[in-house]
Amino acid sequence: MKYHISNLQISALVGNYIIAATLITVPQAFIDYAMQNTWLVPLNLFLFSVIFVNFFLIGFKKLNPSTQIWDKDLLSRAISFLLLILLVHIMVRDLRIISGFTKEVLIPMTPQFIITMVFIFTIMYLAWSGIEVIARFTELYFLYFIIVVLFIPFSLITEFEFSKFEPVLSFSAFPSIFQASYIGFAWVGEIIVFILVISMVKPIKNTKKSLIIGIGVSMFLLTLLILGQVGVLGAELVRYFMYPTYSLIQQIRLTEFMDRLDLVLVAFYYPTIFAKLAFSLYGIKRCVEILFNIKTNLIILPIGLTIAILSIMFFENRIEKFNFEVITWSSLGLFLEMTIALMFVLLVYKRRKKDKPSSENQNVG
Amino acid sequence: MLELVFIWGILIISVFIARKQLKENKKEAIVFLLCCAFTGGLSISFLFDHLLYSYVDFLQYTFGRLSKLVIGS
Repeated sequence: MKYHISNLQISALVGNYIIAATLITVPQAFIDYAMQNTWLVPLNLFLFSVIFVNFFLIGFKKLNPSTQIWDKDLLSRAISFLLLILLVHIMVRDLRIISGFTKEVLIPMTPQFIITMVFIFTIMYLAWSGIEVIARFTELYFLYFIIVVLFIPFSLITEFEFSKFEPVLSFSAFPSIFQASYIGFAWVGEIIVFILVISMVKPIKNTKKSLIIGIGVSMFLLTLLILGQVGVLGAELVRYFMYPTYSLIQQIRLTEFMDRLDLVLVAFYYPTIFAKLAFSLYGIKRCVEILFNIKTNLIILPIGLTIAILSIMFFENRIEKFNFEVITWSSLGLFLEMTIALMFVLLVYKRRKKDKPSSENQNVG
Repeated sequence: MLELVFIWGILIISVFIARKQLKENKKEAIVFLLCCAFTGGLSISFLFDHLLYSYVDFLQYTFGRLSKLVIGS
């Protein structure tokens, strides 16, 4: 059976994949380095990701649309193995971030194991339904998420202080902006996982544009959140917060009787992270399918449980988790993403070479 | 210990439910059972807390140090 994803859906998937987990803790790390100039970091990340997308899609447009990218050859399997490692790390980290956030902020009396299991079964159910359902789910909830994020600056406009952005940019600020951007490179570079579904996008010729639009939307939303955090709370304060975005939405007070609006906004946020995790789980399943040349949904269950166990057992405490997602991930993620991108360029080149004789034969015929 | 029982219970039930489908496709069955065995084996880490910490420590020692070279500590 052939699966199809529209260009709008791939944009939503990409945008959601980049922003969903990033907004929980990463802005704190950005602000810790770049302070009041952090609003420039998403712009750097956008430029980096545009270059990155253009790099790993070199020659992709010239590929015959009917060509099978993922085959039984060694290069395909090597890439899918590396993607498997990347996706497992991404999913373990994200599941721990969201279950940790839920436990520490929302339901502190509930054991971590129970929260993780409830989440992983929801994610497994979504991943089991397939890529088309994940894409439709993301398309719907990412739109709600955009509305929620756009609502935040308007609701906090009275508490916004431009003086908190001073002093604005000096030459001495640029190294710190680069340091903060380096942390983000691995997070936006995660878009490399979309090479697994790139052949499902119809029409395929606009894929690159769709990816860039998705990145652009997510970076715009991240900029809004960072502007809000610095402008309302102040960089000096935010750098000590564990969950700066949640602290920001706690500041929203529309009326006296709506004092827990943060819970409503968090409820709108949860489906986006479920969509990201479901896509990651679907990606892991695809990698195993390519590696072993099988087609089955059954493996989702043991893989999901493995991820859940790893997310609980990997990190001793929240400091270890934070060190992993900010310090270790910035190099580990970037290394894996660059290696996969390079190998994918080679794979596309190989497929194009394979395409040429067959198209020449067609011309002769 | 309860976590271990829960995970093993789910794995056993899933193998039982999927037995008919597994009989039809041998290759699929092998991969699925291998995945289940891996998950079951990994769940033993609930009894030995420090089993997986060393992997994260290793990553921090290698890639974490590389990051600190770029962004400073």
